[in-house]
Amino acid sequence: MTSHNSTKAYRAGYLISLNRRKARWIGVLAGTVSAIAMLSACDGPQTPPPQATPTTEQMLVYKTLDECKAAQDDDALCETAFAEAWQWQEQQPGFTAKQQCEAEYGAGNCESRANASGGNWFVPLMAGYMMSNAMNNMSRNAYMRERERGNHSGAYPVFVNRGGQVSTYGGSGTRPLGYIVAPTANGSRALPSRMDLQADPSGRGYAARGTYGDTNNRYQASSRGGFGKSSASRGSCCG
Amino acid sequence: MERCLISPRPHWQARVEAEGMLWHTTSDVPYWNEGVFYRFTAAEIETIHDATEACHRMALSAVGAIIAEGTLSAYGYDADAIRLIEQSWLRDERDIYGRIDFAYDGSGSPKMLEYNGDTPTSLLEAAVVQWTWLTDTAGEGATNQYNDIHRALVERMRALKIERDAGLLGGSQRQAVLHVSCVFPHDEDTGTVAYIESVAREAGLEVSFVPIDQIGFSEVEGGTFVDQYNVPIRLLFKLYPWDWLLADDYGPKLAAAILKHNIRLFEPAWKMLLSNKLLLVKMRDMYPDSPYLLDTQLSERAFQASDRAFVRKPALGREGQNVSVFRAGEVSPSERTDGNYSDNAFVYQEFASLFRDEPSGAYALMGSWVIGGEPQGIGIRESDHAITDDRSRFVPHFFE
Repeated sequence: MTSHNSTKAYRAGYLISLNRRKARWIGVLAGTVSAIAMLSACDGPQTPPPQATPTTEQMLVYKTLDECKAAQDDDALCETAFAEAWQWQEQQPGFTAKQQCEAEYGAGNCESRANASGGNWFVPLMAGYMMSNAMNNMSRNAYMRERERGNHSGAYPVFVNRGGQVSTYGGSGTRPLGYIVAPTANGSRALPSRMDLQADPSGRGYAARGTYGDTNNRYQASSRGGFGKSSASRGSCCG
Repeated sequence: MERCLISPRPHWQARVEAEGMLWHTTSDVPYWNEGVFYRFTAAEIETIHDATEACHRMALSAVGAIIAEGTLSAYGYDADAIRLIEQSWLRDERDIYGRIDFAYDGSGSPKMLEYNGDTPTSLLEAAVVQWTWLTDTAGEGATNQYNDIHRALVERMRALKIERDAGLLGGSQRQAVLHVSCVFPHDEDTGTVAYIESVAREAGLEVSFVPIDQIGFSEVEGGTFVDQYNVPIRLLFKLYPWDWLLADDYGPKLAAAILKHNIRLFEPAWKMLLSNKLLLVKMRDMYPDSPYLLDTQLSERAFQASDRAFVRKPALGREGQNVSVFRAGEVSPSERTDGNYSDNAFVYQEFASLFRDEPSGAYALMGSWVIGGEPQGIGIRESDHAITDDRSRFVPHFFE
């Protein structure tokens, strides 16, 4: 993956905060924990609940920043999207041992990350990044406006494991995307240029179609609320 | 073992809240109390570690014996619960965590009071909040706290992910996200579940939260539970007692779905037996000479006949509810709590005194964590009463 100057300051600032957290545990502070997200939604001004019917979006996939720039009108859009994807890339918990990471993603496909207290961990290399086709050929400014309005959940990294399975990392953790790419003659794998994915109903990423339920979901509940009665009669449960 | 006073960190509330502990104060009284800490010797820590290991082993042996003897119905379980316990035990379903509570004052052997094997809390306090208190107070490099709970939990979750990916948790569990659930809204339970979630994420698992009362049921595949988005729940960490799940309306459907391998729960069903205080009677029968086990019986007669103090506890009670303490030779309790468990079977346990600090009048209860089958650290709760209940206060510790 090509690195780029415009992402460096962003990345450095992000790493500092990440290292502080990494020392003991990650998660709650990062605001990516779904239970805590629900708590804060409860305490604050009324936030609409996650929509029950997730949407399918077509995603544009770029292997490199240059590939994006060649395709898009505004280079700055590509840089912003790349920086967003890179943020998730840096946030992944990853693996404590390089062998574990390479066992999943293949030899030479993992890089190390270090934290302030001297520990390090390993994350897969970004095979590329993706952004919604709805943002295609937008200017950076228009893209940012859409992001601020919460209309789009932004750009995310794309990974390919040893089996060719494509995944991403976002607010819901590592998610398989339901695409498998075959190795080419030189051993590298060609990413699809477009992928149809489901947007996470919480607005924090994407997943394979069928991950989240929709009205045609075969698992549509026929009833709900059959657990919880005991807590009403017994009081607090756990201790 | 010594109780010491110390100044709380400035802005400690913000510090512990940043770690996810939102329930540090109840009605203006701190539940997390860092104005106090306990100091142990390394030998005392070894003693607690050994006691925990021994009691965990004896508890597992007792579960194995009860299942082998086919006497589960004597423990209050119906046909569904018995099948679930047996299946989970015979399939060797690995558990995640539990907490054994001990009476220990630094002298003699710790005495096991009970095993919270199904829905233990005070986990975030023990694993994270008291650790940060240590490193804030004693310096970044400080490690002299009996607390490897976080590392052990991450390791256990990594093993769970490997098992899941290899299909060892079941075919429909392969690649499934881990759902976590509890009563919601509820700061303490949600915070505990959020900590479990973050541990699972650190181990590389994908996690979704579903409030317990928003779980739905679909007839698909002979009965599948779904979350609030109608996503099938294949792996469920529930901070909600097994006996409650089975008593709720979905109980029979849950039993059927588990037996069909449509869903797998953590803790596994056999853990409900660990939380059942009737197990303490069986453990004592099997290991009458263990220095860690208190005489525990189904009747108070033996204690009364020999003028010994004893405690009456409901088999499935929680948070110190419906507990009565009887002094030697007395027929009415010297201390008792009310609660929602008066309908339970009761056990009668030889009285063991908790650590008592005379100047403050505080009692201290030792909670010793078992993660993935191994002792991994302690958390201490203080109370103004001999019966530790939900008004107790969590206090940090270190050893020298």
